[in-house]
Amino acid sequence: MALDPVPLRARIRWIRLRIPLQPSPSRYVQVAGRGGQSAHWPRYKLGRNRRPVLLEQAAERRRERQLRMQREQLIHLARVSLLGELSAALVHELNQPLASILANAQAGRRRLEQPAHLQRALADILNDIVEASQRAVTVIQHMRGLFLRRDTQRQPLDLNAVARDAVALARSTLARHGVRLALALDPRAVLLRGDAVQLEQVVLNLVLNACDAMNATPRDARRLVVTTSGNAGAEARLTVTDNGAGIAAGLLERIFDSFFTTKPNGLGVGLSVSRDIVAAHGGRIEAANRSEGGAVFRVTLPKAGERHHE
Amino acid sequence: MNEQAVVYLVDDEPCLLRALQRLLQADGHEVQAFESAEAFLRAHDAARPGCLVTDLCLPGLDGLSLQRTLAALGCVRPVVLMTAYGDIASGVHAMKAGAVDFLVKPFDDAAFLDAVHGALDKDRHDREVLRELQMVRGCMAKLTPREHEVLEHVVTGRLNKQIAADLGITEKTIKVHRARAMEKMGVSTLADLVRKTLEVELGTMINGRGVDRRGGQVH
Repeated sequence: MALDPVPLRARIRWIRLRIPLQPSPSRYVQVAGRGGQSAHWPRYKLGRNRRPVLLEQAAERRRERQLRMQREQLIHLARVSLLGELSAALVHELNQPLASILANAQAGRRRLEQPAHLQRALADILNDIVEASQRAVTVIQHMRGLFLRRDTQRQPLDLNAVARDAVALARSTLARHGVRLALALDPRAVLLRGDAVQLEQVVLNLVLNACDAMNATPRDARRLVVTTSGNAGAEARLTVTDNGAGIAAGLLERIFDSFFTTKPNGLGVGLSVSRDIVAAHGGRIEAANRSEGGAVFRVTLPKAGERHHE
Repeated sequence: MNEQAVVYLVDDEPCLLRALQRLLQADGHEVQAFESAEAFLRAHDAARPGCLVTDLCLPGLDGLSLQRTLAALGCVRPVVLMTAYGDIASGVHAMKAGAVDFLVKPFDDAAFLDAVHGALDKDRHDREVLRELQMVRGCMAKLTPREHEVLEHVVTGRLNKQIAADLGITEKTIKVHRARAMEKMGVSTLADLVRKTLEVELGTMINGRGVDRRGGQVH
């Protein structure tokens, strides 16, 4: 057993090994020093690669790991609840291409009876069927990606793609609410490192909140603007602006609190989880009312290559 | 007036729009397809017979608003609504707002074509009623106030003698007014005169099968 990396003091008289078989905590090595009470002797366990680790450190790491898992569970739960909110929209997103496929196939079947320019007509129909099928596949893949639970990723990503994907998921919800969407993305890729699914969750949350906030706005006046920019020095920025009711005075301080909600069916986790996600990316999220009415949410994230601590 | 009926299609999904256009063309219809309600309204000709098939959920003006806009413009074109959200609420809403049919995507070609045929039939019928009413109203407008007055009495079944007493004029004069009114209304029998007058009052057509209630919405 290699004990060399542990800073053992000199003149240790003996090493006591205690290896309980049952119950957990699992086997550990207890290394005892000289003098004092044995209860205060530093204790070690065998860590990875069979290297001894100070037991206190191991416990600390375990607590951290548990916290991280809980945080990821909460993020995932919030995402699943978000998808619940979107379920009608997702059904719509799938029904659209299915309707196209069915109608095109049936049109093709009818077209077979009219021999004029048949080959050309069928080619067009088949192209449309392929296109619609691919769209259905994309929707399913995307949905699966959001439902799956995985560890937080730290991958290079483009904030523009995140915004586009989130908005695509909200598309039919927006249309249903009569919201006109303007997507003003930075013409260049806004590259950063992080978890694309989690960031998409943040954007989706902000977009759906904005949609709800415009319930009282006349239908033909509902406008939502999503922007990204990567020019502001080391920071990438994403904003979601609506012309809804705005955030009531006094609530501005509380909207990011856990379990705070103004929606009858809301859980109150969307914005607090969004803030946690953004914070874990080394960024921040702010909300403000606009002087011309409505609210703006601003997400600022460090760009790729910029160091940040987790 | 003998122009061929056209099916106006509105859906923001180009792929489906093309498919439905193909289905209708294979079924022998003339089709005009649009990706938005606004584009349809710009190109739409209210005088042209036909029907409108539109998606409920459109960017900008949605299907229900489009239906209302058409009605506000005085266009009686029948509307078939389509939706990819199969919820009952929007279906009920659509039917209450006067849609002739409501299709939940994805739908079968037979159901789609049936709905279109139903809407085209209704449009043909509505236009027939409208023409008839316009004609009757046109005839009525040519009546003098006195002839109109006499006509009102005639259709309630009063005899010339009774009308003469009511209006304080001679029976002979009543006969002259009555004959002129019948002539202007283009009828030769009392039954026809009663029918035409009632049609205008009811705002619909009366034919051999009795009062046509479908035309009740025609103004």
